[in-house]
Amino acid sequence: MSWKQVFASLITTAVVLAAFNLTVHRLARNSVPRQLITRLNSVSGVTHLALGNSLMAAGFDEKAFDQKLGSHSTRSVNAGLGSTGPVEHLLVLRDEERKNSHLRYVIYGFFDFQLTDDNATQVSDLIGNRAMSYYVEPDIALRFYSMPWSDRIAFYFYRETPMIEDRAQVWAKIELVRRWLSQAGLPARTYDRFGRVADFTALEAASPAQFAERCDALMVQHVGLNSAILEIIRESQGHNAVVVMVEMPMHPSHQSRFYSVPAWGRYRSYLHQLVSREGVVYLNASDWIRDPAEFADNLHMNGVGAEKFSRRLAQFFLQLGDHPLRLVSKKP
Amino acid sequence: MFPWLRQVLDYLGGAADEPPPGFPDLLTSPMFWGIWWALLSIVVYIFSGQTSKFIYIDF
Repeated sequence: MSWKQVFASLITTAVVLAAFNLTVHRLARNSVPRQLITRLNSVSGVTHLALGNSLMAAGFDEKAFDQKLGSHSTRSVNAGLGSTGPVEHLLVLRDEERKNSHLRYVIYGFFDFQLTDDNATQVSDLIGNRAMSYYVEPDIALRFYSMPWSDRIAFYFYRETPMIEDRAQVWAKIELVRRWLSQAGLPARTYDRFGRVADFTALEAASPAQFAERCDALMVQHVGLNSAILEIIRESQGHNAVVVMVEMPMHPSHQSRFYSVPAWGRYRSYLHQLVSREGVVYLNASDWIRDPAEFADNLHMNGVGAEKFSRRLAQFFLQLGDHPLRLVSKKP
Repeated sequence: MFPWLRQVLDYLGGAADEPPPGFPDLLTSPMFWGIWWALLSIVVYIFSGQTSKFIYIDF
């Protein structure tokens, strides 16, 4: 093959790959973050914005919450997004605030160390829902990600390449086929909307001792709130919205293994001090749902649990009344 | 049939410089090779996703 022929072949390869990129781009038009942004754009007059990861996505029942509040002037929306962190939550909040002047409350659901973990991110971590930072205010996302310079350069390249930016659109489909094949002839595994139920134990600490060690280490090092969390608070308060940090309901097994250790109690008080200093209400809802049957897996509530939690949360807001900040410094 | 198929695969895989008799001329063109390389790249790409031990499917 001559050089001319090789060159012609490479041009053809580039054309086919460009066409494939367009296909991936079209496949990703309805990715979960884009659906969320579209939905937020379509709902007007939102007064209560529920932010967070999959715990909030699964746990906040807008209908139950609004019904319990029972006011025509309030409207809640669930902006929880699975497998995301504070930086992506900040992007969702900013998107909502740009077009909504009615926002009164930002309800931020968190679990474990989410409020004090840093934003250390590699570009390879930005997959699935986290890929939203490529197309929703990438400059803001980069400002808060703690990322090596080589990854920052790659970030700009990746965001122009749908095959990389939205690779999860393709990989998730292959993964589903792979799981289906690997399960042939075996007892069926349990799935919920986020994936295999058994997988979610992998997100928990390895042992209560390790969990307690982490609690103590964060306090000894005087670790402050995550920078994106602080920005969420500033952005909200800049729009006259009150932030309520909600320690999300956790499965009874998580409660007994991890939240019962004395170190967690100390860390909770420490966290409460940190958020109170910022004028934020701290709400400990971790033990609100005590029936394991109201959870879909080790972390996420099911529909029944979500309804129960949302009603009780609405009750809390009814109690807040017109003076929400009076609860800022009360014990969690 | 099978020896011919093997020769075709040898050619496509680069182990043989010449295609076996009966191999369509069209498929020896630079454009074919370009499409072939692109398809191989795409196959590698779509099956390279199992890099994390845990994957959310709610994408």
